[in-house]
Amino acid sequence: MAKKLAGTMKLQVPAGQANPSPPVGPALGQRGINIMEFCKAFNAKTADMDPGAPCPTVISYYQDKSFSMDIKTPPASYFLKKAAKVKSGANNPSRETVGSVSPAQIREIAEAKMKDLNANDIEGAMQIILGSARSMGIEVK
Amino acid sequence: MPTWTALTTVTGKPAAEQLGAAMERLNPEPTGVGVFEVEDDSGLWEVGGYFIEPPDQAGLAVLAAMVGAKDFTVSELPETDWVAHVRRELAPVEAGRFFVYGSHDADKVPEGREALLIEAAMAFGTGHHGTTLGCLKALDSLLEQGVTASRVADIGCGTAVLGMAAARVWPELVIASDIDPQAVDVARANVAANDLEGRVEVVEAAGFDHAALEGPFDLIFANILKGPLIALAPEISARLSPGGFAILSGILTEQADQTLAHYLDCGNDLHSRDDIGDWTTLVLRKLST
Repeated sequence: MAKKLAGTMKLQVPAGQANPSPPVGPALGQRGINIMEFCKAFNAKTADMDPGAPCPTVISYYQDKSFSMDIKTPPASYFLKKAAKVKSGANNPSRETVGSVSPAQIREIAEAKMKDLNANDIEGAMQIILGSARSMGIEVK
Repeated sequence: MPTWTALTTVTGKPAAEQLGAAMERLNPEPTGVGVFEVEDDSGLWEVGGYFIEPPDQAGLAVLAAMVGAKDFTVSELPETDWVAHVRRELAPVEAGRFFVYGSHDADKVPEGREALLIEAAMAFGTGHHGTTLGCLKALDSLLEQGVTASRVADIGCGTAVLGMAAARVWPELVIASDIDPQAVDVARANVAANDLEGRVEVVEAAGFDHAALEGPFDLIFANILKGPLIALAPEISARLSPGGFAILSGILTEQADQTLAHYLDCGNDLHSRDDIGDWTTLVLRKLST
């Protein structure tokens, strides 16, 4: 079919829990995109993930209101906070440490995030996650 | 939950995408960022953010200045039933005898019409576009002229709405194909939802690269785009039976003459042409000799 792209949007949508509340409702609704069909498809595609994990999702929609979606892995900060069992990162990470994670956990997070990271190998991906941990005041030990 | 929006416009897609990416780094961060082409040929793009707390207006002003965008307009969205809003926008599409509707309008199907259930979802071809509408109207017009077809192919089928429309009015098997595996899945689900299993066979194929598409066909739909339509002109023409029809769409009106010329060169005549909005649907007939 003659797909002509009308726009894209990137929304943070909780895995398995998409519903018509913000941001999904207003973002899709203002463009006339079928909210319930989006929620049904998104929730099916994320059914095996941690319920509620925030998934950056790029939605491309076409002139006849059909759409496609590219669901990214949750941000590194989500995995790091979960691994360190903290609710938020440090306000001043250069002076404050809010928690710690193990090198094995850094590798696990790097493996989970690998497909969305700009890294050639798992070592490079781990370096990116280490940087995120430092910027949140989470130490590795 | 309250929602704030921050909207602006900027010239050109690169600046719009740069602004959209920069908005994601605001604090408080947006829960959504959208980049949309303004459909008035102005070259303007709309960039918008959704926030669950009032956004940083000073930060937005800096970002707007960075890419030469207009100042952001920040407002709190009123509480809205967005599902109901969308359902009003996704109204049924009527094209002659065909009535294309979403499940939310199942109670509105008129008697005596050829009804097709298509959800506006993960494949193109909902009927809410001049290209699909043009193809359905062209099919309806051929039926009015007494045309019958025993072998039909729908190339680049998307939802398979066109193939299913043909299967509703003619008894033979219709072959629908798409290069996109996701569209193939959606098309198969639509075929099942419309009780047309065994009447429409959906295959994954690039062009005619599938044994089921060898032809000849009495009618070929190809609602794709100018480039692939021109590339497929020899194959579509070769697979039409003498006197057979091709319904082509996905062509901008200014591209129609160029596309048509390729099909005339391949032994077809122009049967009819319909312009809907910016889009043209061509109906071609294969010469008998």
